[in-house]
Amino acid sequence: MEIGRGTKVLDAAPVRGSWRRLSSPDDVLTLMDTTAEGVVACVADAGATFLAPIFDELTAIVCLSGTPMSHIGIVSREYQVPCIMAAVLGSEPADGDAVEVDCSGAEGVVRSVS
Amino acid sequence: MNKDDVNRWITYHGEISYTLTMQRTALESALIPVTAYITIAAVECYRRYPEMVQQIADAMPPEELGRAGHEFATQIDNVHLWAVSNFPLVGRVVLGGAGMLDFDADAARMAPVFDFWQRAASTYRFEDGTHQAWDAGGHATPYRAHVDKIRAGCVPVRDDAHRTQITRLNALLTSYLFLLWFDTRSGYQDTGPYLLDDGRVMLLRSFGRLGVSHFPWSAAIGSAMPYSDVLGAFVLDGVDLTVTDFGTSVTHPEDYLPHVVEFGLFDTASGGLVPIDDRGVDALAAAAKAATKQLYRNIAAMERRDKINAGAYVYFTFLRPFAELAGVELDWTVPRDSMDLYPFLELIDGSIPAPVDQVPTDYYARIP
Repeated sequence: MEIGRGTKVLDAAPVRGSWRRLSSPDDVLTLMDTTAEGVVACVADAGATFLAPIFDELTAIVCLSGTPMSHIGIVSREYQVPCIMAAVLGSEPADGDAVEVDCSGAEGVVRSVS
Repeated sequence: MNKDDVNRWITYHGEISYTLTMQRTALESALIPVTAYITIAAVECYRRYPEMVQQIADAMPPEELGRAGHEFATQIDNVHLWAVSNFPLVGRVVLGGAGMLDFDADAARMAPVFDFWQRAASTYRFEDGTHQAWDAGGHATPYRAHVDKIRAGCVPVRDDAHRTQITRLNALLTSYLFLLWFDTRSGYQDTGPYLLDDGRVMLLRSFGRLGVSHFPWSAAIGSAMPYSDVLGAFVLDGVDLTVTDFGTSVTHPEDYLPHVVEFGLFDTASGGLVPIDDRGVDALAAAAKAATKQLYRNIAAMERRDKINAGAYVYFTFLRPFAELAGVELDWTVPRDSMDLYPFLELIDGSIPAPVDQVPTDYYARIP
């Protein structure tokens, strides 16, 4: 079921992972010290630095602001990590919920996976 | 340069910077208070750059500084040139919003800045009548004289593993430099398109100041970096390429990496082109990954005010490469001349909304 959509940075096949809202550097450090593999990170701001140490491990990124030319969009392009910018969510999943990020169409789409 | 000349350049920069800002729209980071430090730095730039550029110009003609950007690792590049004019202009916007802009003195402050910028930008662009990539439809090719030598040092992408190695290195360096430069894209700069004889195009990406530099926070992590300045050369097949005045490439298709058919990496710290082999590529990637982790930890532990001051230093020192080339010692202390506004500006939290309702040519207010 679709729960949100926005502007995709790149064409990419659908990927599935575990939703995680990241709000502070401590959230990122926690993943850095464990693992960020399998995580679909949801972030509010479009700066590139917030996710820097875990970028290469993330399954996908859902950013609630910005454009593909924002810093986080540029870095996701270089990492080839599926990324949706200025995403509008109808309802936000809980941390740990399974989601799909689909950047294969005209827009990027976030779906819940039951 | 009289008031009309100054107003002409204000309008010129306003239209371009409006468009670049609308494309980017947001730049805040949950790690670094970007908007707060930009506003502080911009005020410092408006109040201090006019005297600083004159001191630099007295030591070396701006035309010569612009030409120096045709050599590697100088950091005379698109975004550093863009910043010379635009950071003081952003400072005008901040001061104007606070009712603190003295229009009577404004033309005299901006004239030397524009004079310095346009003379350096003109020669950087080979005196072809343009001043920025914008004027040339997104073309900036300062390294055109070196293209044959660079191409000769590139090798075909062998297989998927090789492509993954290239992609990973490129991404790790890009991300590391965003962090080292406090969420500015100025540590790496794209130039191109360099048109090749076989119809392909080359994108050149400069990764600068990877090691220990004048950034105080680089001392704790930079010494482990095996190279300080490197140049990545991407030969692209079937890609339309342009670059912005932020030094960012725009490609069609957007995902250009699968279209890289040849790649070369060069150590440019000495000003020359020294090829880096596969072992060097892997060592650099590993070092960038480790440095990113440690630097992130270090920045996360900084107080908000220290982050603002560090970011403001990054922005304010965009003029530093010009001063260093000219051999001029200047005071780079920041904050210094924004202390009257600092208590208010440091409280800015979150991005300033994109100027959707503004007329592009009015993005920077003209002098009445």
